[in-house]
Amino acid sequence: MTFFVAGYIIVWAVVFLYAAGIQRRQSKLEQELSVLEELVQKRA
Amino acid sequence: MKHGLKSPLFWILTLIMLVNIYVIAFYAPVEKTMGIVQKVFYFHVASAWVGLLALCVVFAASVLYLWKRSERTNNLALASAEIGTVFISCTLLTGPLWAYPIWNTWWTWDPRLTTTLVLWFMYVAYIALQGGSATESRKRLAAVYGIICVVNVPLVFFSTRWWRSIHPVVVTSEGMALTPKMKVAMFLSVGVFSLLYVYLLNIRLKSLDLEQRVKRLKAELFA
Repeated sequence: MTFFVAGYIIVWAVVFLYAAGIQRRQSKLEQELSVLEELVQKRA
Repeated sequence: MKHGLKSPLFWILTLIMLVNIYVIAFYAPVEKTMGIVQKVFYFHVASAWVGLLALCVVFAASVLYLWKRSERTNNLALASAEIGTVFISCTLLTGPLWAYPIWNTWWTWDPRLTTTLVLWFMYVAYIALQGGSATESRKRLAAVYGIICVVNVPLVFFSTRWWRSIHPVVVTSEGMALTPKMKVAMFLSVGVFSLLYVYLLNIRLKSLDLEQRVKRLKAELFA
């Protein structure tokens, strides 16, 4: 039972960490993009 | 396409995942000789399937990149390679959890295990090639490498037939060595993991697209 539960936790933890990492990076990029777009508009 | 909590695919996936957990835990029977640890098989096989599928997508996207030179196909190959690495890592981590109580060892240099480990290293090398600010020539090199890597897919799949192996063979030329209830649990797991692959691929493609837009704007501003 221990090995089965450990296996399941490992799989979902690895997938969740990867997905959370992408989401975090994406929200940072969205913020950066909006700042840059503002700067470009001001320049124009 | 919407992402995160706003995406309908996210909620469909969450629901099917819960059904999948229920099916593995309560619907699929406990194997007589191995006991409950055999149930590791359902997500071990499903993650291996996605690992191999992702490499086939890397291959197709690499061919398209060399042909069309489109940034999107390069992004598709990179995103697929990253997700493939995640799932092959899951395969390599869950395998020993089954092997230890059954084989009495965490690892053995069996052909299936070795070819899968080689596949993991191939993925890591591909990501390293594409890493940082990859130039056009690095991307071309990565595409050629991505095409060569697909050779490992049949090697992993047929390793248990071509060489002497102690790894269990579930899919044989005569069919699958599983009971009908086990088949349901296995196909459901494979389906859930395939959907998860599509979902992760979508969000990773969007973040790669954003990265490139940020790079372009920075170049425009600081030129």
